Amino acid sequence: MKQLLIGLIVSLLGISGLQAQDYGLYWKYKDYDGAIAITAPRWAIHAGSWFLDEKADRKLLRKVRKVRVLVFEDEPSPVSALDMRRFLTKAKNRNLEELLFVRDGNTRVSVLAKERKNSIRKLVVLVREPETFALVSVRCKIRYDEIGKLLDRIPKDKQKKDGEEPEVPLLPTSVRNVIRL
Amino acid sequence: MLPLFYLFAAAAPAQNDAINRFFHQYMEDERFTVVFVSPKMFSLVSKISTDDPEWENVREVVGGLTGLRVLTSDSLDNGLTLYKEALSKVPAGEYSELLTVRDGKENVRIWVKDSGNIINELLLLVGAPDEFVLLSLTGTIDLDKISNLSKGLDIQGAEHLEKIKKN
Repeated sequence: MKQLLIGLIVSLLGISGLQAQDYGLYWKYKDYDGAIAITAPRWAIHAGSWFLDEKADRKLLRKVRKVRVLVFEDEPSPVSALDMRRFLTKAKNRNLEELLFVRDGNTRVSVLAKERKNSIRKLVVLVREPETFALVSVRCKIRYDEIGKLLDRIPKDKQKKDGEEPEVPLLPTSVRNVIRL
Repeated sequence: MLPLFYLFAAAAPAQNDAINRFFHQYMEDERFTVVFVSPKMFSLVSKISTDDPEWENVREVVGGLTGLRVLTSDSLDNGLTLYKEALSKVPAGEYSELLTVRDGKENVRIWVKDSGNIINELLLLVGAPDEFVLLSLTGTIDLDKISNLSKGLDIQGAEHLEKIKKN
């Protein structure tokens, strides 16, 4: 009985720890009707890295610890303004800082990141429209020099071809027209 | 709305209240596009070094920057009215005019705010019948290098920073 209680407490602590990673948004809405909720754990990302040709790409992908995606499409988003305020307050309290905000028409895009000891530990992208909501949260440990090496490996002609939009699938076209990341 | 307001307020602690109010007045207006780049973004970018000399130029410039705000629209029917409204809000005593360009119906003005030899704010205002841009850049700004940023940023309206180089 005692072991069962300890087990239960440990599991609950584990769950609350997971909830803290996305400050409530993912866990609150993942089971809603119309929600597309995906969590890719570390082992799955590690397994996915085997399919990459370049060793450097494999190494970089293995720095990603967890990816969470929550999407609502083609229906009014249940994520309220109050949820967003709570999310941003919690994020700020936990050192997840806003890097970029773009509003174009009724599309809002925010990029937030947490850094610690010369590395990016978390990256969150939020896209909000009246009929669309997307949250992508990436927990990782990528050092700045590794980002620099990644940028060096991307050939310049692939970074931006003349007259061709770079591939940033998360960002709506209207936003990509204004700011090209 | 509220977090966005705080974000903007935090980004421009030293900026003139009238300009701040102008940004706030139109930041929820759907005719405009709003871009905000936080000091943290500039700080992160300045830590990433690559072998690309173009990137290194941008990195050198953004290292001293603390914020960027852009309010832009290219589908207005009263661009010049807005331009005049914004123009009236720029306090001539606080900012020194860096350049004025009038090309056809397009007006471009750039002001800077300096303390001693250091420029700590750059304000760009563009007005045309169908276009309006208000761009505010804060931090330690090197005018010789700031035109490099227009390529690095690739934000609508930022291409006017190129004019500093030409002049």
